[in-house]
Amino acid sequence: MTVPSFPFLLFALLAAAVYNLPGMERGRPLTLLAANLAFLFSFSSSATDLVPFAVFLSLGYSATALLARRGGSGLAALMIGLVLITFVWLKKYSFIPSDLWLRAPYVTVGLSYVFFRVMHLVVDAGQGDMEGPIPVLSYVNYCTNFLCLTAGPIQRYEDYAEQQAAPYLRPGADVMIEAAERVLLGLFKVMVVSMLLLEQHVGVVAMLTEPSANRMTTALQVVLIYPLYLYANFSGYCDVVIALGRLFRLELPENFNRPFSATNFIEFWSRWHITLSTWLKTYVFTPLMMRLMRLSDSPAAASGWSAFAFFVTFFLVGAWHGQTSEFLFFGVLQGGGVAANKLYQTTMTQALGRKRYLALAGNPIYAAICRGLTFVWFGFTLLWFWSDWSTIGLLWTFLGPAGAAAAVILAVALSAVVLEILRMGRRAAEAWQTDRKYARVAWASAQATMLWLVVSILAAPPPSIVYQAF
Amino acid sequence: MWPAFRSDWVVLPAVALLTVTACIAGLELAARLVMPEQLAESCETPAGSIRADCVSRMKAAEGPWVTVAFNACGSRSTHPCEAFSTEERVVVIGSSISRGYAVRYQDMFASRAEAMLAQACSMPVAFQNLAIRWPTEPDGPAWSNVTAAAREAAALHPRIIMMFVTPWDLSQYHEDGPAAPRSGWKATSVFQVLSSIARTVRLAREHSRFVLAMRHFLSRRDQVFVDGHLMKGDETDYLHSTWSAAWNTRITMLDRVAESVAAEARLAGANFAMVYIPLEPDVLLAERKAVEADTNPFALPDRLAVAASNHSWQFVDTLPAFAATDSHHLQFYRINGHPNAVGHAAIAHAIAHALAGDSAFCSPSH
Repeated sequence: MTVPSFPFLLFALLAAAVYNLPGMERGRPLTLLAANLAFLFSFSSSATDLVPFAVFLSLGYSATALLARRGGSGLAALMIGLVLITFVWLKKYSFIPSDLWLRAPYVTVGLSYVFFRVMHLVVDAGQGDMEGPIPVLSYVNYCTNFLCLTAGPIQRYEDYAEQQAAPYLRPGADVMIEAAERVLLGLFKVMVVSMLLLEQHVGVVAMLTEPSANRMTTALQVVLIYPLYLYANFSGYCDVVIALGRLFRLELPENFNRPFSATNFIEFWSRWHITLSTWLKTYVFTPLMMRLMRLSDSPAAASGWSAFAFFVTFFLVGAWHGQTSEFLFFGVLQGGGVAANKLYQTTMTQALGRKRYLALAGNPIYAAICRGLTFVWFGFTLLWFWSDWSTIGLLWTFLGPAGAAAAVILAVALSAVVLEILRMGRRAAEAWQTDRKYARVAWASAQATMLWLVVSILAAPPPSIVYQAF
Repeated sequence: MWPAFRSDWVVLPAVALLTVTACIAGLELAARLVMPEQLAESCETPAGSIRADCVSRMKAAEGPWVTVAFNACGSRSTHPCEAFSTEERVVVIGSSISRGYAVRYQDMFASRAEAMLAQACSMPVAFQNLAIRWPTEPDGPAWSNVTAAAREAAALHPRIIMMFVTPWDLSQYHEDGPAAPRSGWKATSVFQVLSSIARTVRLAREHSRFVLAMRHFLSRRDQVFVDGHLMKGDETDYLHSTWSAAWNTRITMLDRVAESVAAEARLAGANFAMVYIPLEPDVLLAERKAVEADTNPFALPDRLAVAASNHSWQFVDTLPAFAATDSHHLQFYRINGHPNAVGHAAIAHAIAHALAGDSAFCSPSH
């Protein structure tokens, strides 16, 4: 089942209708379980396809339960290693000899996101942060939640359990209306905006082999359209699942917070794929930083350690996406970008002093240029995300060194101006709230019209969610 | 609680309706400004014939503005159409492509083929085209219009009569006689209203320039375009390896009609040739720019070649010429469906190649 799609919406609404039936107090977790299993089964041709998935879940549960009863750093390290190796093996990472892979086909959809949830439980249990073993039903429903199985967001177990344990309140009209609005917004982003951007992007990439193509405009579009497409695609998906979650008493965490308004790359990663970067900060950056600080905790060393820990954390963000050399380099660029950003901040603070650096950062022109630079850097790194070395070589040949330099300057200037205009537009729209109700209806109607037009024109399935592949 | 006021039950739907109307009107207006189109042929009479020596202008949304000049016989040709002429005359009958729909005269297959044949055969060659005309019929064109056009063509004393055939023609032309009722069951008033609304929406969509612009944009990828085309059902069944009964009937009918045109040609002492013009998806499949299981773009021209061979007609298959053209340039107006200037060059090449190799046409004695 494709998420989001009209069949998926129908499925989720039916499940929500049963979930919210009167007198279902005890049946609600079972309803969720049935929906989760039905969703998982929609990806398999037979029950045996799900066996490796079930084994991985069982391993995670056993490890969590064992560590919750008997702590100890040695046992925790063993369990973490076991879960990690099993995940890597099931995902068929290329450094595992292919002879060791399972031959029979099996379902791996959402396995990465299940891994994050399982690992979070195992680590927390190992650190003694868990009061006791968690109920099996709650564990299975948490790990296989059909709303966020395929591409997140990654919710913490404490939040999930707290929300499900809270006294039941039937979703009111306001909740329903807000959910409907957000589902519509999500579908509009995925099926209209992201699809149109993807079409344009595919078109301009094809132009790289056209001798008659305008080099500058083609190259700018190749680099700048993809981040917009990826944002519309992934944030649209998140809008749909977060909105539907409210019908199941689930407040799923936000994954995006206006990422292109970030004025530096560190801030960008606190606004983009928030649940993944938060997970990595919690389970990679913080423990690594603590260990490094034990080696030397002088202020000079701290800044170096911090840049190094940032590099490792965000290298893993990139490397997590795939096993090819392009993805590894994507990780290097993510980690390098964040580490360079950290070192720049430290150097500037030392050179100018904290007050003057903050004043500079608050300067609107400086901020706009930084915003443009952050956006362009992200778009540039994404070249290793969506293309391959030969396409990147083609782009380099297409532009030449002087053309590439000119393209970077133009891209930063253009992005700075456009993002600033968008920011001002958003502020004006927020200020214009004389009667928000009418504006909301008009906005929803406009989205629905565009959605209907595009869906009815294009006799093809909606574009798939990019992050579903990871 | 929301809506808060009783008036909102009226105001909110009104806001929604107003927004939808404004969106559709705004998008349509923008599309019409960006992609102007003029398809109605102002030289055409209500009965479907062309006014003598008439000049008009037309434009496909995806193409340039084009001046269309007709001669005294209603043929889009710079050559006069009197019965006696010093040139070797080729008369083409067919639908819009034979009239050079939405391409300039100098880009049209006829003017290109004239030049090629004049050089190859060392003799003047003139094309006249009698695009098949029919009064506006609710069920589309009838095959009897083709037979009528054949008689007109024979009256022009041609060396050869060429009949253009496209898959679209075959799916649209019907036999003479009253059209069969489309639905067997009696409509209720509610159904009538609903079906009338649905028809209006469908027609509005078919004529919407915004829809055309979006389809043009969304169909830029060859595979997406072909996938969408194959979802048209009966109209594209000829591309599948197993043909529907309807397509077998269409071929039988074409065989009969073509034979009647050939008979008219024989009576006038002319040869007869059938020219097959593919649609763009057929070309993309032939070039393997789009791959679809269980499809064969050559099946239809192969069937036509067999029919031509059985009747000793000349057969010109333009599909190989389309497939051999430098594929960096589109050969069709993708959504409109007609060949553009590049496509007409391919047609001209195929026709000139076939006629130049025909000793009956291209020999010093003529």
